[in-house]
Amino acid sequence: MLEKKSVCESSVFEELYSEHSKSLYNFAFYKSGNAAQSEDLVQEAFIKMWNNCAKIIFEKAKSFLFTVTNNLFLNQVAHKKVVLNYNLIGKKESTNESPEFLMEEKEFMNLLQNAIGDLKEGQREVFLLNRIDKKTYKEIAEMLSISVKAVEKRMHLALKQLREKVGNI
Amino acid sequence: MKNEHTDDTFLSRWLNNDLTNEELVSFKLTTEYKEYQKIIDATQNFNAPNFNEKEVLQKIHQQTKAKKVKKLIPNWMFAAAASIALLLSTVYYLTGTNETYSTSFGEQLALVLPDGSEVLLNSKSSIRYKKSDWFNGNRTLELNGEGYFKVKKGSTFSVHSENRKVSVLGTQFNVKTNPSYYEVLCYEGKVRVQNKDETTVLTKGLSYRKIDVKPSEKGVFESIKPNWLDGETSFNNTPLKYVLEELEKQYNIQITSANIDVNLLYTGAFTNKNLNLALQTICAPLSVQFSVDSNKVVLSKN
Repeated sequence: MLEKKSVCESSVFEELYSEHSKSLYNFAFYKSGNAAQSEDLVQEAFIKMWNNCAKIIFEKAKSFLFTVTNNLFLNQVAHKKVVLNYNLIGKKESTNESPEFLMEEKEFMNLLQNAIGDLKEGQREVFLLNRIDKKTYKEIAEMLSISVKAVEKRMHLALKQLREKVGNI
Repeated sequence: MKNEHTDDTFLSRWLNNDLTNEELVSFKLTTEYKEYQKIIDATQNFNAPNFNEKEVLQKIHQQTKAKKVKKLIPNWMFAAAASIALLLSTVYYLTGTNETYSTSFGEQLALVLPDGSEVLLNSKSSIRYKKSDWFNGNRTLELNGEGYFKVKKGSTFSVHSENRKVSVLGTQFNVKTNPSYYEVLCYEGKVRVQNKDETTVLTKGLSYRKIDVKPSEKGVFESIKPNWLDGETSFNNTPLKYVLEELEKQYNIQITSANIDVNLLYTGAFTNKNLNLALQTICAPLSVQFSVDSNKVVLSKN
């Protein structure tokens, strides 16, 4: 028997929040590159969902959240050129690599960051959702309300463009 | 070689491990492969900033609560206001307020009761009744002073005054009630008069009168309606003091009658329209002098 979950129930709301808020935040961040703005976007999207809870069925809540975040973002910014500063993780505490190699490595990372920042928004969000958030193409397609094929194309183009910028090093 | 991996989703399929073995082998032989692999390896080290999940949730709760309260209060208020209004009107309808009608000196008032019966109130008189009683078929009212009733046929109709009561089913009668004077005249049908323990049934043309502590009197009369309806007040063997009292009510005057026996019985009528004429009709038969000073009248024996 199918159990219908109402988004208006606060327990269901909390469940949706803990499940999607982080990836929604990342999604907003890959678009805007602004942490504070991303938090606001997540907040607004969930408030919007709550206020319209009667009209949203549970199964559609996720795509509602991403669509709303996307729209809110488009409404908010006159796009500025975003330079993304991605936090580096997995930095080794000690290393036996040569200093030159480490220098090169650092330079490469900086270049890559800039290149990612320079990607078209559509390509960047797809690329990062896949690489960092480990979302499948299908999941990304659902989030953005586009086809899987379109996601694959964006992914391909993003990677190609990154290589053109940083590949020579 | 290059052409083999330049269709527009090739790199996506590679990342997804969707390439065929042949494609993968040939791709690995290219120079680009290493570069792509390096980029992909490097991206493993990226991470999005920390998301302050709890803090944002709290903000959401604050806002949604605030919004909910704003949204809910009006609905709740409307419902409450509506039910209070409904409750009040129901209570008002069921209990009703006391309807009161009264006349001043020299005034008369004709009014129709909720059941269609008519009342004519003489001067300085009042009636009071509860509307709700009447809607429930309980035709009761309180009378002070004098009133003439034309009762529509129906359930028992009763006129209370202190511990006296007249009850009828459909008739015309006149009731005059003062603390020490009580008179009922039946002009049509049948009325039952209850005065304390005494019960009397009157038919057309019969009257009942009780003055002070004297035994009650029954009388006969011939008129078909009270004289006061035509602007005259008539008396039949009535002590002078009640006649003067009535005169005071009709003309809003104060009468002083120092050396006159007010228990003299008077039979006759006076007009309600002309004070001098009225005083003459009362004083002449009793050989009494009178003088009028604005609203003060002094009576004196010759």
